[in-house]
Amino acid sequence: MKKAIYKVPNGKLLKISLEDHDGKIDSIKITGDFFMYPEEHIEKLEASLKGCELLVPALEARLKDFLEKTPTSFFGLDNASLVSTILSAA
Amino acid sequence: MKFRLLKTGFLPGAQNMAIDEAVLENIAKAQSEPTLRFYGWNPPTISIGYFQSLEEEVDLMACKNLGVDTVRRVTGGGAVLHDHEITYSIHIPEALGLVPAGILESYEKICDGVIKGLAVLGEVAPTGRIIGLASPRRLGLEAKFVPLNDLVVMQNGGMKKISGNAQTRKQGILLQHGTILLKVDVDKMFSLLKVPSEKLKGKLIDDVKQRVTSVSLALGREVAFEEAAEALEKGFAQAFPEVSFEDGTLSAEEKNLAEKLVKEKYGAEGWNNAR
Repeated sequence: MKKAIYKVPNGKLLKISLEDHDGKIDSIKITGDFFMYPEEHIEKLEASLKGCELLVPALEARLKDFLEKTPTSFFGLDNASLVSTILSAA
Repeated sequence: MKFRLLKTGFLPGAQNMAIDEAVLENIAKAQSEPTLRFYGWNPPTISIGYFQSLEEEVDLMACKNLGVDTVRRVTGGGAVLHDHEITYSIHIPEALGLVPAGILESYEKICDGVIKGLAVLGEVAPTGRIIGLASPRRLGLEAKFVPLNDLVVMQNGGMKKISGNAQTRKQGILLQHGTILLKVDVDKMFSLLKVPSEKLKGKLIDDVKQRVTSVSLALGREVAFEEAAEALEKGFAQAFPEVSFEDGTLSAEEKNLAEKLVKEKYGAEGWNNAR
């Protein structure tokens, strides 16, 4: 399991644990003391990232697509921090 | 507009969290009134945020040895040791228009109740007698809201955290709960929490000691739970002048649901170890 921890600027602590294979996400767990509404979307977000290439454009696109289809708001967390912390875990 | 005021005493973590959810469910079904609740924790409990991993955040063996309970909250945010403190929860139907729709703005509005309560606390003499406004001896505990969800007071020239707050919204109901430290024991806190680096633990403890205070430290005298509850009740009444807070109790439906939630959710591994 690969891990990364990141303090979001003006935000909260983000922890990423992931397994990858051939440059793609096998499984990912996003934890930390941030807020997300509705909370129950966290598992859906994690599932939506499975199979995603570990590259900035691919992760950004996957996240954008998820948030369009599954309206979710972050508080103390942002897309850029999520993408960069996933990449630093990989 | 009427709100129910609940004082549920000191309860284990699972019960406390189950009551907050049971109250929310019943307000959503229009079977209970909007509610402000004050409570404590017995045994002392570490609550973790919705998105935190219990095993990553908490030294469960140390908790067991010290008789400290653990529970995962329905709200996000960080791990909190509920020991010498008072917790409030407020359930506000969003349709009432009492709080702004924005998350940050609504935190600020509700935290204003705590700020006003802490100011009242400064006006209460140790005997519990309110010193008249004309009194020259107005101590006043001046707290202020610091985004995203903290309250701080000025002490020794620095801003120190005295309260943490967390919010969720479900079924049209805003639930915010928060804790106000009456006493603080940073060493105990860190003996129970896991930190990312053992090597940096000492420095981290020193940092937190610099950044955290309690009502008792800030006021220079011990403040008991009851006194704090009384002050916070007044603070919320000032922050929400359109609301009349009236003493009430849990309904039978709420008690039954809370009991079920203790068994099936907050007291169960499936929920607490979900992340």
